[in-house]
Amino acid sequence: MSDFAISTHGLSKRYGDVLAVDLLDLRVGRGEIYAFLGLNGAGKSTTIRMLLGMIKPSAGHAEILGQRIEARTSGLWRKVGHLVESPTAYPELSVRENLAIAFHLQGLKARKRIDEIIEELSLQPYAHRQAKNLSMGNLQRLGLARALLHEPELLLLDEPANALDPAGVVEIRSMLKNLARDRGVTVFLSSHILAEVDRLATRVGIVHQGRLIEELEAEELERKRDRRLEVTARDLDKAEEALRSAGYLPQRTEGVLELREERALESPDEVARLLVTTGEAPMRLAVTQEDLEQHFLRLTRQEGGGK
Amino acid sequence: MKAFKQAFSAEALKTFRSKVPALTLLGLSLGPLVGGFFMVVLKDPEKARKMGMIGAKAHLVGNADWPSYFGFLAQIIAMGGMIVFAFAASWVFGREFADRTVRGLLATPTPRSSIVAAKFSVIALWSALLSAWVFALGFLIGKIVVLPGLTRQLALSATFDFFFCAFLTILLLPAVALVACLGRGYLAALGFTFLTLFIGQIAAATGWGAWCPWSIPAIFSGAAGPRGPMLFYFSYWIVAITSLAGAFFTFAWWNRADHTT
Repeated sequence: MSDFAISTHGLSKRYGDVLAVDLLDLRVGRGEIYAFLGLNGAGKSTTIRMLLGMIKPSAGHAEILGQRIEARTSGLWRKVGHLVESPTAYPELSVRENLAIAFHLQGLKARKRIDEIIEELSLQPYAHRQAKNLSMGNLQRLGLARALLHEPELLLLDEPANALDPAGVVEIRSMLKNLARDRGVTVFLSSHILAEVDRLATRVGIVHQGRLIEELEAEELERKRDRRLEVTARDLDKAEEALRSAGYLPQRTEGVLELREERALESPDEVARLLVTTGEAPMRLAVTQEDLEQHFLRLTRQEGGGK
Repeated sequence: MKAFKQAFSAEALKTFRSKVPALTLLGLSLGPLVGGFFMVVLKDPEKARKMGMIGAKAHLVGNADWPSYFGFLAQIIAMGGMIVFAFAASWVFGREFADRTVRGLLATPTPRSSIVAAKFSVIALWSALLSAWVFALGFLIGKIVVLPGLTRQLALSATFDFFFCAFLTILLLPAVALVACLGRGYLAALGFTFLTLFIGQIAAATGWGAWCPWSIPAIFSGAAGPRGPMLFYFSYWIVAITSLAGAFFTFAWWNRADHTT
């Protein structure tokens, strides 16, 4: 049995002159929650479609749960749930009937599973409502219900939090976390809601212009994030001078002094004491940390082409 | 076989929960009703003369008897069926792209070929049931109108002609399905259907009907006069080959094309 739930080997996709995915080498371990981040058009959906055999790679290949993916792959999908781009459903069919379609195609036996998943996704009030009359948020829930109906080992989710209200986002996040923790389900998700990924993912891959430009563990991301001590004072010039005299290297940006030295970050109280003794007591002193969004934007700007 | 049953259950649920089968039933039911009305008109020459245009149209059907009426029913299934059955085929395949639900069909334990086979089966079954309904309704109307000339031999040969005509029309549907897939929706398939009707008419009118798959069902129905001199043995093979080619390329497309919808 392969150690990886997902592995890609030089996976590439070209549409004419456009290289949508370029030599992608991904390794996603079993039980991981892997977040795949990228700007619009970075190649996230194309990658997910290649992982599902919907698009043929121009070069390279992908393996899911140790099996090489081809258009004719079928049995494997019993173990994989997916949600590709915006959720879709048969408009004239009810929520329950849409799930019955997935139930048939998955070859499931126990009808009560439909009731269970409706309950798990809080869709009971809409079970008999036609899909065309659902809100986007409930349509998204239906898409997730379909992905989870057959209790898969691996979930491939493209923007799973799309259109959900804040309570729904928290609910889905908690559900995915529980699935990974309690049932060992591997989750591979793309998202533009970076704050969500920040709280959910055990590993993050950043894709830009079709290439994987960074891949890091949640702890590694924590370490790599830009941390700084921000100081504001009534007279910034004098405060800066005092800090420089004490050997600090403050940088001034938009009315704030920023200190990145380890000793300042570890002992902000020392900085406060220094400023108080020089008569420039700080008005605000705070250690701030770059969030994933800022890290992502910094990284894509460095790579060029960031919007 | 299990995979096919899974796919067929899903396709049947989608089809029979929609309004499209009822619409096609309603559409094709007009055929025997209009035929019956023409027969009533033709039975009374004075009334036909008074009705002007309608009377003239009724005369095109022939006489107020069973042979003419059966011929008209066969033409209904050949011409009307070509449109209505094609509408069903373009809906079964095209709606998956128009509603973008095809994504839910491509990566499931049910192989794509089983899904395509189930779609074709639903279309064939649907078209066959519609044909049977049109024939049964037509027969009932003929009885109500009290048409003369019904013999056992005529009933048998007319039944065979009608259903063989329906069969030829159904055989042409895989090409419509293929265009629905290539065009990723209904529109291209419906456009293709009208184009083939037009081509069929032109081919029949210019004497090439026996070679054109879209002329053959109509010629068989007698729409262009007695079929004997116009069709030959190979004509039926042309329809079969068109059908097989359409089906083969539809299966290949589902298994090989990039699905970006």
